[in-house]
Parts: sequence; C-alpha cells; structure tokens
Amino acid sequence: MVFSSLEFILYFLPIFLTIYFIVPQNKKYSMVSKNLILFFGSLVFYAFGEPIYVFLMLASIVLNYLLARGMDYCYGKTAYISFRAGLFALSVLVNIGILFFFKYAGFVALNLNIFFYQVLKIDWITLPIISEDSLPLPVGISFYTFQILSYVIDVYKRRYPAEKNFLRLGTYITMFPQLIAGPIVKYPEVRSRLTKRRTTRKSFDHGLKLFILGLGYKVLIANRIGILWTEIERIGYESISPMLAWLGAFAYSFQIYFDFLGYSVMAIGLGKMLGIHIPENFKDPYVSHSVTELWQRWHITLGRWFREYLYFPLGGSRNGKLKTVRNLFVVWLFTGLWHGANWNFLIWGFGWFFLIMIEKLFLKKGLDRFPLFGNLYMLFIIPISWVIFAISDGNRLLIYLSRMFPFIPMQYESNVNAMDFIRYGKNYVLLFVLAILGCIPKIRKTLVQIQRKKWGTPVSYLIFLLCLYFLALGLDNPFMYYKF
Amino acid sequence: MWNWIKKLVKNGNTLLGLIIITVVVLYMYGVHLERHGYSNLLVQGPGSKVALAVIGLREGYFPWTDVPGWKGMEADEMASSDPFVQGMEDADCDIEETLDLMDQILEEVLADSEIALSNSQGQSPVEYFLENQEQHAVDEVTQDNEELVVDGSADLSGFGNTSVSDNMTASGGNESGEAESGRVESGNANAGDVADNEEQVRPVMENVSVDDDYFSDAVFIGDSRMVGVEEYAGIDNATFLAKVSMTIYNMMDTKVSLNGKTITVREALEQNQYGKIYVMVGINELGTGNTAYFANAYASVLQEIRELQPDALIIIQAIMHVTGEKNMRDSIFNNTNINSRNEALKEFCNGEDIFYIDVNPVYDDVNGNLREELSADDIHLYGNCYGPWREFLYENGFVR
Repeated sequence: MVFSSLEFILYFLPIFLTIYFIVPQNKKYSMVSKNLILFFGSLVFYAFGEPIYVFLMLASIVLNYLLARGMDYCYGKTAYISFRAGLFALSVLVNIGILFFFKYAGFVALNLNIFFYQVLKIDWITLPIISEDSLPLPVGISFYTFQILSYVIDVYKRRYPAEKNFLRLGTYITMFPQLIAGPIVKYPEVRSRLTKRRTTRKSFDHGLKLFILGLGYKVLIANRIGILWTEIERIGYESISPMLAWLGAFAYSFQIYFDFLGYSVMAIGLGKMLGIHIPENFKDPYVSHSVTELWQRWHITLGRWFREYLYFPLGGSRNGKLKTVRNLFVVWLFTGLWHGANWNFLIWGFGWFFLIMIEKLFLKKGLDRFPLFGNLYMLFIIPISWVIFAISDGNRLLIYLSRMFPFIPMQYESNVNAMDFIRYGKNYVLLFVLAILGCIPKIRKTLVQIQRKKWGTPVSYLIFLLCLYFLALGLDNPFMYYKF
Repeated sequence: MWNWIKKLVKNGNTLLGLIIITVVVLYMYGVHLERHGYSNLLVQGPGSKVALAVIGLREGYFPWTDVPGWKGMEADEMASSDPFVQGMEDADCDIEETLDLMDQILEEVLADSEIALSNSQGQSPVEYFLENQEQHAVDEVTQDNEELVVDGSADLSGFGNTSVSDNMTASGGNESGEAESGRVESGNANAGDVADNEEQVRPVMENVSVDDDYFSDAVFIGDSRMVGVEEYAGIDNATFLAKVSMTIYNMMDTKVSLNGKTITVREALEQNQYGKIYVMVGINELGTGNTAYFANAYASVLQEIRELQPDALIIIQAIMHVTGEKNMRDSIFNNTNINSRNEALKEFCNGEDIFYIDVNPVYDDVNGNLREELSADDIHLYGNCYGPWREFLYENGFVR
C-alpha cells in the first residue's frame, strides 16, 4: 500500500487511527496496547501488498531478536566469545543473504553466466536465474534489512543492550510510517517512544498537516512533473530534441526528489500523529555546491548508515590516502548497488565516487571559494546522474545521453519534432516553477511552518482537496523508491 | 456522529473535521451517483465512490440507465454482455455469418435504444443517417470498360453488394475480413456520368493517392494518437484539432488552438470550412458505457459536424489497436472492445460523404494486435514510427 493512494488515505489510515486512539493514553495497559495495534496494523499494512512476504519479514524479526538476545547472553563469558561472534556472523549472513537472494541473485547469476560463456568459454556452467515475475522483490526489503542490520551491529558492538521485549523490537522494525520506504531509523531514536509516548491534539494536528504537505509534494508536484518523463519515453528517446532531453532530465530530477521527499515527510507526519519521532531524510539537497555536500543533504539516513556501518569499520579516512580511496570506492559501489541490481546503478555509484575523489583532491576548495560555480556545477551534474539512474538498458541510456549531448555520434532512426520542447514544456511551466520554489530552503522551511501558523489549516485543506482530485483521476504513481 | 465532529472542530482540530466532512459528503454523493446509473469503469476498488464523485464533478455525467441491457453490471459483465462483443464471440469463423450476425445485432440495438437527440421529424440521429443513406444511394456507374462499383446502399440487412476486395490499407490481409463496401478505384469518373438523384451528387473517388495539396483543406480531429500524427507524421499543411484525452463526449467542446487562438472544436468548425474532416477518437471512451452508448454519441456528433460543414467529406478513422501485452492484461483497454467499437463505426460509412479508414493493418502483428516494438506504453507509437501512417493517409485520399 502506498501512502499516496485513496485506499490508504480513506480506508487504512482512518480505521487504524480510530482503533489506535480508542485506547486511552494514560492507563497502565496503554503502551502495550498501542504497540500491539501499531505492530499488527503495520503487518496488515505490509500484507496488503505482500501477503506472503509478510511472513518472511516476521521470521527475520524473530531470528534477529533471538540472535541479539543470544549475543547479550554470551557477553562477558569468555567461553562464549567466539560463539557470540558466530551468532553475529549468522545474523549478518542471513539478513544479507535474504536480501541478496531476492534482489541480486538474478543479476549475479546472469553476469556470471555471461562471464563463463563469453570470457572463459565454458558452456557447461549455467547458473539458474529466477525471473522477476516468478519471484518478485519483497517491497521495502532493502529498508528493513538495513534497519535490522543496524540494530544487530549496534548490539554486537555493545552500543546498547538487546531489546528484551519482542513486541517493542517488532514494532520498531515494522512500524508502517517508515517500513516501505524509510527513513532508516536507528533503534535509539525510537526506543524511548516505544516505552512511553503521547499524542496531544496539537501534535496530532501538526502531524496531519505535515502528512498533507508530504502528500502534496508527491501528488501535486512529483507525480505530475513525472508525466513529462513518461511522455518522453512514449515518443522514444531517438526522437526527442536536445532541449527536450534536458527538460526531461530536469523533470526526472524533480520528480524523484519530491517523490522521496514527499514520502519522507509523510512518514515524519504519521510518526508525529502516533507520538513517534522519525528523523529527517532531506535538507534541501539541490542547493548543494558539491557532490560531497549533496550526499550530506540527500537520503541522509542512508548516507549515515553506510558511513557508520561500512566506511568507519573499514577505517574511514584515517589510514592514509590509499586506504581512503579504497574505502570510498567500496562504499559508493555498494550505495549504487543498494539502489538497484543493474550495471547502470554501479556506474551511477562509481560516478559519485569519482566526483567525490576529485573534490577531495582539489575541487572542493575551489567550490567553497566560489559557491555560485558550485551551484552551476551541481545543476549540470545532477540531471545527468539521474538519467543514468533512470535508464537501465545500456543502449537506450546511450541514446538518451547522445540526445543531451548531440555531438556524440550515434546511429539510429530518429524523427525529431523540432518544436517538441515547447509543446511539451509549456504544459509543465507551472510545475517547474513550483518545483524550483520548493527547492529553495527559505520557501521549504516556510512550508514546514504549515504546522504552526494560522494559515496552516486552510492551506492544508486546499492541498488535501487538490490531492484528492488528482488521486481520484488516477495519478497515484507508485513511489519510485518503492522497488526497494 | 455529528456531536463528535463538532467536538473535534471546537477543540482545534478544524482540519481533521473539515477533511472528515468533505470525504463523507463526497462519498454520499458518489453513492447517489451510482444509484442513479452513473458510473465509470476506470474507477474501481477502494475509494471508488469518492473518486466517482470527483470525476462526476469534473467531467459531467454519463447516465446509462437509458442504454439497453444495462442493469448495474460489473465491468466484466458489461464487456461480455455487450452485444457486439458477444456477437463476435458467438459466431464461428465463417466471416459472412459473423458479419450478418453483427448486422443483426446492430440493427436491433439501434432500433431499441432511445436516443436523447432527435430532429424536427422526431428521428434519432442514427435513424436520420440511415434514411439519408438510402436516399443518396448510387448503385452503379459504368464507365468505358471499367466497372466502378460504388456501394452506397449500406442498408443494414447485409453489407450490400460487397466484394471482399482491395482493402483500404497499405498492407494486405485483414483478418476480420473487412467487407465494408469494397471499392475499385477509377481514374476518371466524370460527374456527368453519375445516375442523377434529386440532388446532383458528385461521386467520390476513394482510396486514391494524393499529394500535399490535398491536405491543405483537411482537418484532423482526435485524441492523443492524433496528436502523435500531428507531431510526427509531418503533414504540415493540414489543420489539427487534436488533444490528449479527447472523447466523443467532449469533442465539440474541447478547447484547441487554431492560428494562435484558443477556441472550441465547434467554434473552429463554425468559423472555417474544410474539404475533409478526419475524426479519430475512441480509446479513451472504453472505460465508459458500452458500444451502443458510444455509437449513439458518435452519431450525434457526426450529425452536428454535418450541419456545420455541409460540403465536407467526413472520414472516420478506426480506433488504433493496443499491443498484445495490453490486450491480454487489461479488461477494458483491449482489442476485443476496440474491434467491437470499430465495427459500430464502420456502419456510419455511407460511401457518399462519410467514409471509414483503418490504419490498424499497417501496424498490427499477425494476431491483430499492435506490434510490441512500436510502442513504449502499449498504446502510443514511438515518434519515429509515423512514416507508415503518413503513407497510409497519402494513399487513401477521398476526392470528389
């Protein structure tokens, strides 16, 4: 179930909230009841889209709960030191193994087959590949796997004791505001709220307004500006003019940002309604002056996950230039790979690595001195990077890039309508203006004030009506990070 | 419940209260609409009543209780009870029999339906057409050694003296065995040789090759596929009044841009006279009503066009197919439904001033579906695939 759908807004959410708030807040049984309702509600939420995989997720939670408690039990007993390490290794293996199996096995098998056959000329090895149709990717698996891993690794490193209460752990992993598409929440961030939380009428109101703001980002901006990309696909990349190619790249950049931003803001809003604090995932990434800065502002919870659980354990930047390069390389390759099991994601990740290297070496100083140059440089890099992210087919990607840079020679049948960017562009002028405005920090911060200011209520209501209108007309595109 | 809402509003949760009230009102309105026979097949599942209310407010209502056979059926039932679809499924492979059966069904359906519009003689648009077709019938013209067989008498009891002869399209073979009045073209039919009626009617040469000048007084009215033709087929001197999501229900009121001004299609047809009017809509209407309902609306629009443009030739373009993928997956947008509607559209062709052309054979695969590699979204062609369509139009002109 997607937040920006009528079934969520008109069915699931009202029913869930009613049940959740029927339980009074101040009783002895309040927390347990509310956690139970949240836990089971989240399972229902997940089961709606994944009736079978919900059991996979449950099994994963049970296993990790037991292993974490086992690790705590083993701690301090010298006889069990290696056993403890074994439990940890098992947990990591199972978690990553499941993720690998569902998401990456096909890609790896495919490429190994090609390697064996084409390069080594061995044709008697053919690894089986289960197609995406017969074994679909469980929704949200990349997010909840990383979330579970962060918990398990933290327990192993003794950052905090393992959670003894299964309900609390289960609620932490499955709570529906962040289950499908993040933000990736660390356990300490919600632990206190799992034992005690309250919703006041004010906080509920604020949460609702934030939720509607996020909904607006997604339905009114992202879904609609994304239609331009669909229209370009429909024309066929060979037949678009360079102007339209660039316009499309910018449209996609805005789409993916407002889509993900919308979803993250909706998550924070829902959390507020339930009394849970969900961390921010974006801080105006598109005003960044460098790639380094971009990744401190984009998908913040993922960046911090990789930094804490991969970069620092590898040594970070503390062991000399060569090791730093190696560590960065590994982190960025995996970041790319996390987003998708395909070569274009690896190239995308590598691109970031390359630029960050250059910035670390000399460019950053220049960018810091001339911020305007930094903005222009990012305005150039960002659309190109999203095009690489968006198109998995190598051939079609090259065609699109050759449309953006017409001096790249490529042979294909093309039928360009010279006025296409005007015809298509003029329908999106308002959307581009809104999108650009939404990227300006001052304006975005003002929008967040929708919670507190007097104009918040009428503006929220208006946004809600508009969203309802567009959702009714069928514009609820699935969340783009949804296949994760 | 009312007190509960008031309490919410009073305690500062105005927003929540407003939202609840709005949703409840829309829901009740949606229920009301459904009970009175309004519906939209595209809106199913959770939230459908609210969505229906919103769509109803936006697009107007299409009451179906007047349509014969409709009794509040589900979408699947609707398609399978559609007499045209049924007819095509029931008939075995005998083409003649299939055609006769479809004839019969169309006659029955059109005869039974009560159509809103009627002219001063109390005739429905379709009746008016049928009558006028018989009046304008031209049986035969012989010329030198050639037989120019122009079949005008499209009376519904049969497809007249048809020969399943040359198809109107570039590629051969049309598995539905289109026996719309096949024609043989003649190079020099003279107006004077025509058997005269009360009105002096010049015969029309059909499916002739034309050149660029032909399109200078042509207008193309249609939906997103027509927009594709406008943008990528390179017929630059024709007029295009095409808009994405145009339907037969909103066609005349759709705002289009002509010579820099934004006017409705109706106004465009009032202000300019055209020699040929190409019409292509139908795909967007698959989610609303059934074939008879669609045909009714089409008839009234044709009527209106005829009144605005008495001398123009009207050329109906068949609805283009969707790909095999979509055909298999989608219960609404599939070629069975498209074909049934095209069969209804064929009936409007009178060989005199209303014609019918079908571009599907140009782009279809052997199964009668749009070829997969020609479309990104199973419905629209890639920009570089419009060459054949352009050729098709150039090779199938209609000249008086």
